[in-house]
Amino acid sequence: MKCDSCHERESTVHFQQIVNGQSTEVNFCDKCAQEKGMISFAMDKPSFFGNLLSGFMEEEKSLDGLENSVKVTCQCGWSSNDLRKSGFLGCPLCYYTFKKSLIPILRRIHGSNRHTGKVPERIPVKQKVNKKITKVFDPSEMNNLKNKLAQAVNEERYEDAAKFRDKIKKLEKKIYKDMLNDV
Amino acid sequence: MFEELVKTTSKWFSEPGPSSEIVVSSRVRLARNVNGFPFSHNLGEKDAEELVGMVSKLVEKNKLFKGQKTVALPELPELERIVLMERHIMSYDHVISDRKRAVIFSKDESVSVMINEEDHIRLQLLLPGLQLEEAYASLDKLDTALEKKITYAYDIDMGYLTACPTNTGTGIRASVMVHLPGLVVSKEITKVLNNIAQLGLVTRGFYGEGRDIKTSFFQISNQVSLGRKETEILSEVDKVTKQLVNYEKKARESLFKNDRAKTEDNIWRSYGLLKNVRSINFEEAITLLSSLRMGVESGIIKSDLKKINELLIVSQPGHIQKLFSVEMSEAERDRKRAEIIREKLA
Ligand SMILES: [Zn+2]
Ligand SMILES: [Zn+2]
Repeated sequence: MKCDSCHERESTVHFQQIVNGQSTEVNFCDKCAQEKGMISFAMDKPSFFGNLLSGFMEEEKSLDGLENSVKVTCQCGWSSNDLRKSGFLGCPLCYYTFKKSLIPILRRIHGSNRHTGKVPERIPVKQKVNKKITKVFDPSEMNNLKNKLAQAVNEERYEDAAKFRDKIKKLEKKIYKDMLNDV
Repeated sequence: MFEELVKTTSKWFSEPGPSSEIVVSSRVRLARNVNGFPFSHNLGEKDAEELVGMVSKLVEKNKLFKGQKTVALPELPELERIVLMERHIMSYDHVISDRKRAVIFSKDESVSVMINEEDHIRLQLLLPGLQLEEAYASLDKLDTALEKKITYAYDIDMGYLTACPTNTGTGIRASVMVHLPGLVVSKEITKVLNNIAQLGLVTRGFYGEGRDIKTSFFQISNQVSLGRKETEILSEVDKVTKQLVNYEKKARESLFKNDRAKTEDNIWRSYGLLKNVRSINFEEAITLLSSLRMGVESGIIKSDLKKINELLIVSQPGHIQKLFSVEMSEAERDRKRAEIIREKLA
């Protein structure tokens, strides 16, 4: 069998990628496999994610209705077509520009569209491309509320928990509004 | 550059870690982007240059990188870039990209920061054996130190914003490299890997000629990065890896119980071949080293894992090429590889 990459040499490395139970076989020669980092412990290029993603995008196309409407372009120059073709975003702001089609994609990939992990010490409010002005939001109030909420839930004080939850929602809304205004 | 580097394995890799008899290494990486700049692939040359300068200056100040200098990659010869990839310091993408980009790594090569890879900043930490939580703990410190100076692209709802939506949220990828010869020989491997895939983790392995699996190194990592806390993601990969270790131990036990003669014969044959070969390609070397590794792990052959880990690194094509620093044909490389292996195992 010839190598899938150079189509010249005989393939020596047969590589199978399994994602969610589905597998595809890839065949490379010694040289191409090595060049592609197939034989590297620190590999961090699940290229099949790209394929996975463009599959999602194809499906989403009919859902989000973007294909029928005018081409949306972010201020960084990245268009909805670019997004669909490459599976990549052009800049952080693209997350807001293409939010409507991105949310279902995020849900499809991660089963969620809501971050629950680390909160950085500085959160940008102004997301202007190519202008390095960043108004910095102080997350201490938010962190404080989240801690209080967790504590209330732990101690089964559900009325208090509900109160904190409301406050968090309100604060999030405010931050969100600020952010959109800035954009 | 790197003449000394290619002679031995990375320092972090030279001592075995927890469960090293099955888990070769653990790795955690975080994807981060600088707010206000387009993502790497969409970045103009001037911006890219500015970004590399800014980030590398900050990273160099961190004590993890004391005495280390940022390596500008467009300037580094391709062979040396491949060597860095083979040592797991950076990705294949970083080897071949034509962007203004850089990498900086700690002296023991366990921590590295890629600048202008798929994301502006990719932090990674490698440890021997199963040590995902330990790896994340140190990496988180570095991340926190950097975010005091850099405003990362981040959204309250979606978390860290990355170039590809597969990394959005925590930007974390936790992975382990496992050695599973027992499951491969007993042919249970496909079933086990499929089960892991069902759990939402990604598995990858190297398969041999035809459908027979020859080499038995696999990588397991998380797929989901959004909607779960870093610690939850880490403990999931950790939990599955521990199960895998148990399966592998059982598979080896039954191999030695039911098929001892053949199993031992296989191990000794591999050892004999490695000590006597005059020419060997990388795939065969990996296959035989895998078998030898199982012999050492099971106490059948008295040698240390360190030596085998080292051979897994230095017998890679780029290392051999660099070590002899002359242009070589594949055949010459195979002869040199045999030489190095014989020498190490003598
Ligand atoms: Zn090829
Ligand atoms: Zn954009």
